[in-house]
Amino acid sequence: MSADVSTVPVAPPMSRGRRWRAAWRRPETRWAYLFLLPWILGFLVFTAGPMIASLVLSFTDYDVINAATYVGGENYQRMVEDPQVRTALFNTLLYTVIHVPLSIAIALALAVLLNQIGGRFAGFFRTVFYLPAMTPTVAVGVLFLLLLNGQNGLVNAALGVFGIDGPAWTTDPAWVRWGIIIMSLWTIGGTIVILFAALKNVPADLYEAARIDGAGAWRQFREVTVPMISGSLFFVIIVNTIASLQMFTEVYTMFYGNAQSQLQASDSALFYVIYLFRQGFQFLEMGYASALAWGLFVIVLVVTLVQVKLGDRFVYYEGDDR
Amino acid sequence: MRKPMVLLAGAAMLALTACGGVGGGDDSGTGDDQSGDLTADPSGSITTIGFALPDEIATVRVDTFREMYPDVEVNINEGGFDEQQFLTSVSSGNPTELVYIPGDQVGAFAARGAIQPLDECIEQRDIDLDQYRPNVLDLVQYDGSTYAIPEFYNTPVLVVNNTVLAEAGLSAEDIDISDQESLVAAAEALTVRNGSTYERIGIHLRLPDLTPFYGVVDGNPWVAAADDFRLDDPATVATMERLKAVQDAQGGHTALKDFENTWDLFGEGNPFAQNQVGAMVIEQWYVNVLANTSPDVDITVLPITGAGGETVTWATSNAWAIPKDAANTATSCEFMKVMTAPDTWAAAAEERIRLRDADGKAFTGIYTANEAADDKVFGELYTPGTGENQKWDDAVQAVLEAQADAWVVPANPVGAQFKAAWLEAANRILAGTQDAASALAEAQDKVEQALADVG
Amino acid sequence: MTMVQIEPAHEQPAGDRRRPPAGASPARRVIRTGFVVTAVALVAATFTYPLLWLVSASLKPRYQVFDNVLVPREVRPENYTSLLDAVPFLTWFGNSMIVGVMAAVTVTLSSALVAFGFAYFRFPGRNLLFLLVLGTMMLPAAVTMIPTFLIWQEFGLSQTQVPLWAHNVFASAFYVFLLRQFFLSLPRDTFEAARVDGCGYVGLFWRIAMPLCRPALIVVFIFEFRASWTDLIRPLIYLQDEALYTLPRGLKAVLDAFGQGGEQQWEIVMAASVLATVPLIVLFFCAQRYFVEGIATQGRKG
Repeated sequence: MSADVSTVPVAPPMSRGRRWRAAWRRPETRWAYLFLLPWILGFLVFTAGPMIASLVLSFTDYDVINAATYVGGENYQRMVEDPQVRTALFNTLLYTVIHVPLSIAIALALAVLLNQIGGRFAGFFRTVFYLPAMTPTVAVGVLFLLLLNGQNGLVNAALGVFGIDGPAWTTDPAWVRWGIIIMSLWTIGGTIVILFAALKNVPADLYEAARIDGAGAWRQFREVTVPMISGSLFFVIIVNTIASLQMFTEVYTMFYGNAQSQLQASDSALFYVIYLFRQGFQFLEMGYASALAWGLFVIVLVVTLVQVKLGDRFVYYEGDDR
Repeated sequence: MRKPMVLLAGAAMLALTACGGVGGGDDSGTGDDQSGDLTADPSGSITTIGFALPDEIATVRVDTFREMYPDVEVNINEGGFDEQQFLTSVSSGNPTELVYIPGDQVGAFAARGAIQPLDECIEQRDIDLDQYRPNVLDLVQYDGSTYAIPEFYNTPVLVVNNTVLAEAGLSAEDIDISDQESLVAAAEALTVRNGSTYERIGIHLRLPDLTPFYGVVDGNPWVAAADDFRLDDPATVATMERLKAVQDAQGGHTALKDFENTWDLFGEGNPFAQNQVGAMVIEQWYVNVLANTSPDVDITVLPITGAGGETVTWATSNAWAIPKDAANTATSCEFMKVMTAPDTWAAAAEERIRLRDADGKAFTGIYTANEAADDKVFGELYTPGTGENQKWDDAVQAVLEAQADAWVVPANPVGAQFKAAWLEAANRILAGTQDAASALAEAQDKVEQALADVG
Repeated sequence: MTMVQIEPAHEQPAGDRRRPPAGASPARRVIRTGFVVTAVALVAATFTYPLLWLVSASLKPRYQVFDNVLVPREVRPENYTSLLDAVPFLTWFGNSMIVGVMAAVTVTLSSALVAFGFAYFRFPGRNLLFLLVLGTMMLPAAVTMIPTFLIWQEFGLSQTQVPLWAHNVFASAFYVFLLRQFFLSLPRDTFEAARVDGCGYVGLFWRIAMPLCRPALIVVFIFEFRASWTDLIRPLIYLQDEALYTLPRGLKAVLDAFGQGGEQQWEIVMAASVLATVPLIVLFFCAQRYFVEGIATQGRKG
């Protein structure tokens, strides 16, 4: 950033420190901070403040009803030893590791097919694929609770057409996670739309050139399509991963909403944020829940940073000569 | 531009005031507000959560209170009890005036201070504790104080579908829940499947809801005292293993559960009307449901017996409680008193009798935690059905026999954790993902850990 | 960092940049296209079927909900009337509208303000602050959930609808990011010309920048409206009074009262689900042009 884009006449060369101080005195700076004020205040009150508060809380035993007491690292120790944290973490990571690649692969395949069709048809189908994503998440959970019923559910009825005897998706602890993954694939419309738009932007002459080089369909896909949409792919991977790690509403609706629904799922549907939410707002273990929240923060941070690092290697940016 | 500027100013003010208040959480409002004005005339408004108005038994009683105190505004937020909703409202310091909670969780809420002791309310407003069944009082009394006023008195009975049994050449007497060999044989014989799709469950034990009851049937209640849990007892392991065997003989627990989930349990297409079940262990209220929705079904109701032929029972109840920091406790206290008084129950029963008579259906009683109320209903109002309705009188007698001397889970501070622990173990054992001994040992560990945490 | 950029939204004719695959005879091409269309249509049918099933189930008598027949054997529109009689569904609908509009309006205005600040001005600390904005996008909501609840409790607002939208007054990182990209794409000369004409910074923002990026503002508005419309976790924390419920919270109450927690009247629960879904679908069709393009531009690199 240099001074030449400023609206203020270019000043004679100054030392770094003086330039800084001078910049602060400019009315433009004051105006800029005025514009930024909402975000800065929000950051202090609803982000930085609560982050510190939750860090402090994570070292206490606090149930809101009674005063907080300092307990040192007890909550973190409990977190490491709690078998339900392990279960929740396992379920959440398993879901993420399967849902993200699977949903993106399916979305990409559908986007490629839409791109093959083109024209009005593609627009129509794109709308159809996106409709499920407009269904409120609570409704999605309720709906799939019925659709996934092992005896008379629609999913098993469909499998039955192919002679497959479907499992008990909502009651068998071994299958509950897979039922949730099936449900999650219904709402991939957003991903399809993003990837479809990216595909439309791939210049046709690149395929032309590849074809002249004798590249078949698969090689064109690998060597032209994937690199050209790698930015969008990277984006949907990151966004879907962060969302998957925070899965809550559908599963809470299906298996944790009331005493009766809690009877059947057992721990196989326990996701990390659900466990955290229940610790905080059902068992009122606010201190422990805060520690769990920081645990989640670290996980999301590490996963995202790893993805960004890996992404830097494979994402192709136009004008990049790497 | 004006609008964003206003927003900016608002934001700044909000932020300034917020900085002074992070991490607060006040300790105001102790139990003190309960004393003093508890004798005051009911007034203002009260709101309840956890309670619903599905039938006249509920509505008539609420109306009775409304007629007695027309100036009081009573809001019933209908729906099943939601622990998260309740505790979050308590923690925000602005709970509803009343909450209707499962009896087995009273001890836990009392231990953590989420509900108030009612001793003063009971004394000041003359609630006669002696009229309630003593075993239900065990459920709602914790640490020497009464924390909730119980309503219904629910005990499991065996409901047999005679049509289905006759088809299989069996009779109601052949079903013996305590005798494993005959139970498995009958369950197997009565189950009908078409490929992997169920048409009928042979003997529906209502698992996992009723799992602890079978510990009672096997002569081994899972809780011996408020701090003595026996989930890892060899007898408990044996009970779970035999329950799994019964479910397996009928095709496996998870498939049964899925089939059960598609039932129209409360409606005209109920599993007895549609012959989707041979026999079912279920609480006595289901007899009332059947008498209303399917008066013509051919059923026999029997008490459940233990190995020695003695009647065994497990009772549960729901109860009214006052959340910590709740306002208007005098009115709430009066509401609890009126809702559970013998005259109120009798008024509700009378209305039901009127409705059933109008339809030519049988009145099959109401079963409450208030013994005086039950005495009144069965002594003064109940008349045995005749003719077609004779079978419903038999059912009522069976229910009354089953209710004697029921076992209850002693009030304890870890009711929620206990339930979560056995539920998790039962689900794994019945689904076959973990063996009974290790699952129950883990469950026992969880409960003991919770007990240790409570101190 | 140019993953996201919003362009003035308009449908791009899909065909113009692509050409049919060469090296195939016209006949084979037709067969091939037919095959692809059939495949996509099949998948599309699979995607739509559950929605149709939902509508169908909501019109069935209780014991036929699970029969997997698409056209109900007996049609029971009274499922809807019994739902509306039993719960204040219209109140919940109104609450969702109010909360949704408040959330969307505040976040759109505040995010635009902040985004313009980042896009137009050159000032010390800009890069650092923008990095912070990006960083907060990675922060799980769960981390701030509990202290935020305590803050609202301190204000005595923890049992009102205010906490469902008030934080939006302070802009949201994702939308700031989105709108900043948009503002950056506007030609700087436009602003400089206005400056010369004596237009102040406020005027630049309100009279020039805002009108020019209306499509992007609409996208932000709709995104946030949808997010608010489907949010369950905040209503669970903040709303204990039935009269204040938003639709997702109300839907959960219906599930508790009629579904597993009640008498397993799934047809009523399905009816409630249909009623909660319809407004969003209507909104989707009204704003489809902006909506789909808006989502598409989320992932497009510039």
